[in-house]
Amino acid sequence: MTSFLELENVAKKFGGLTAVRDVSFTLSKGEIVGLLGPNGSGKTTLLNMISGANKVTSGKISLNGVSIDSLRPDQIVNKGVSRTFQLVRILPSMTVEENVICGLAFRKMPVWGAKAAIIAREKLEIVGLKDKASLPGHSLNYIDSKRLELARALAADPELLLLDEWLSGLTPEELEAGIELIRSIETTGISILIVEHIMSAIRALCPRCVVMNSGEIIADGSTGTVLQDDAVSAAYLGGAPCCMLTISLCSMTYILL
Amino acid sequence: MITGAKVSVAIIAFGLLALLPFFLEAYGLGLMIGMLSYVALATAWSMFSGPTHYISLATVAFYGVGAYTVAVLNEGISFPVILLIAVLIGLVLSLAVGVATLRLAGVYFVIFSFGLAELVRQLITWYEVNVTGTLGRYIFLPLEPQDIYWLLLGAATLTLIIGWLVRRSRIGLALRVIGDDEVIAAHIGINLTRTKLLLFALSASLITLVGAIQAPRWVYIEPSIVFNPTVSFLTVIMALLGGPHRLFGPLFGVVPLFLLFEWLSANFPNHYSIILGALFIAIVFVLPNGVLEFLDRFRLRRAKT
Repeated sequence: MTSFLELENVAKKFGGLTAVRDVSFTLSKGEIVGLLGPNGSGKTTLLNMISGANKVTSGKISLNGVSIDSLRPDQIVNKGVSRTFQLVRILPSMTVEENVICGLAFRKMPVWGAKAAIIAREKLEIVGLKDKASLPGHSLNYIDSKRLELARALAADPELLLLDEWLSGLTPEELEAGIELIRSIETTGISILIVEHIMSAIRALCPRCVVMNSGEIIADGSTGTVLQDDAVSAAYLGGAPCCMLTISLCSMTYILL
Repeated sequence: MITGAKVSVAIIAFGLLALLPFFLEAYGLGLMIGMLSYVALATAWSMFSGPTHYISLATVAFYGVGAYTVAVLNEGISFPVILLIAVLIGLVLSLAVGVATLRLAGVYFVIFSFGLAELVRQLITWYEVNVTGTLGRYIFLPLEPQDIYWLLLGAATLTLIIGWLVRRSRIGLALRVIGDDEVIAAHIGINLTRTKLLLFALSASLITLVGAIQAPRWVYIEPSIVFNPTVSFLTVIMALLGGPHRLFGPLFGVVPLFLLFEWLSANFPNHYSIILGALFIAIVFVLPNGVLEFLDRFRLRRAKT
């Protein structure tokens, strides 16, 4: 497989704090990769650097062989990268449908007017929000907001989709549906990089995963092998029983929130 | 949606307004001139500040620059050419200011925009005193009040048409996205700097035009007259009262407030600013989205019950 997204010795410093140091990995066209790591390990910062929200301090990021690390977020969208956010972001003053139309109107090949409304409905149908198209964006509950965010990201017609804890905070049934949804997106040929805490979801979705700790990659390989890795357990999970505890605590926190 | 009926109403309204100078006395015409200028100012202001929520108090900076351009150039050049030069100066100034300030968010932008008007005023005062040696300037142009009225009617109509086009366009949607969430805007492919700059400059150029058209009314101009910050505040209050999110919102704010201020300044000249401040606060608290939106909600609520 040819490398599609390539990170070479990427580092990010915020003042004196090094959030990401010397990270290198590649992602192939159509591949789906899980990005794991404890809170503060630099996952979101890494995602932010790929999407252009943060600039790299040093290192190179390229997409299809073209360097993107000095581009603005809007330019990176036009290269075919779109994302969701860890803290869900919806355009509150617009309807659900308009939220998706915004994703269509400013992409590389913009769609606008009546045609945009049709495509927006299609995207909403994919994520299961077709019936709520005319509701105001701010009226959606947490899960529907996440669905809408995904529909908007898909509307930009991405080659690479960055999902930042998109599955977190869902009930078991919703989680199952969410996993199915991401799988169906993957089959359309879109490459996906998922930041996630939910192990079962990573196991179900990602044949390969990358684990970060303290800003560095500590494991990169097939999900089964990586999750057995001693270094990973020690750094991230702190042993199997504790791992289960962490996960349930995490999900409980999200549900409570 | 635009319908034939609405277009006809707009054309008839325009026609009637154009005939007004033939029926009005000097006082009435003066009132209409003031009102039209604020319709253009508040509509132009809302074009940028409505969707983006970047509250600009720089209105008078551009307005004053427009008026001053006329004061400086009024001898030897024909008025339309002067207007064009004024708009170009406003455009260049707003682009320069925009590049420097549109990265500022929220209250920082408000304060900067207010400071800008003062800065321009002080610079011009300094220049006039130290370089040209004349603080005040006279404008002698063969323009009657009705000529200014028609020019302002044209400027207000032009502003409304541009506002309408912007709202229908992709850039209008981009501005709304920016007003809602700049992070989303950047991540769906909107070039934040370019979009904001373009609309800020468009709005500022129209404001400069209004200042330039009104200049001959003063005859005598000095910085403290044309850079009066009240112009900036009135524009904001009027736009907010009517509702800056709608094309005709500002217009509905201008008419009642302008008449009210006219009455207040005639009857309570000393307490005028106090009442103005109180009104400003009241409008922001009671009608944060403007009169039109309030009426819509009221109608919706009545329809439900």
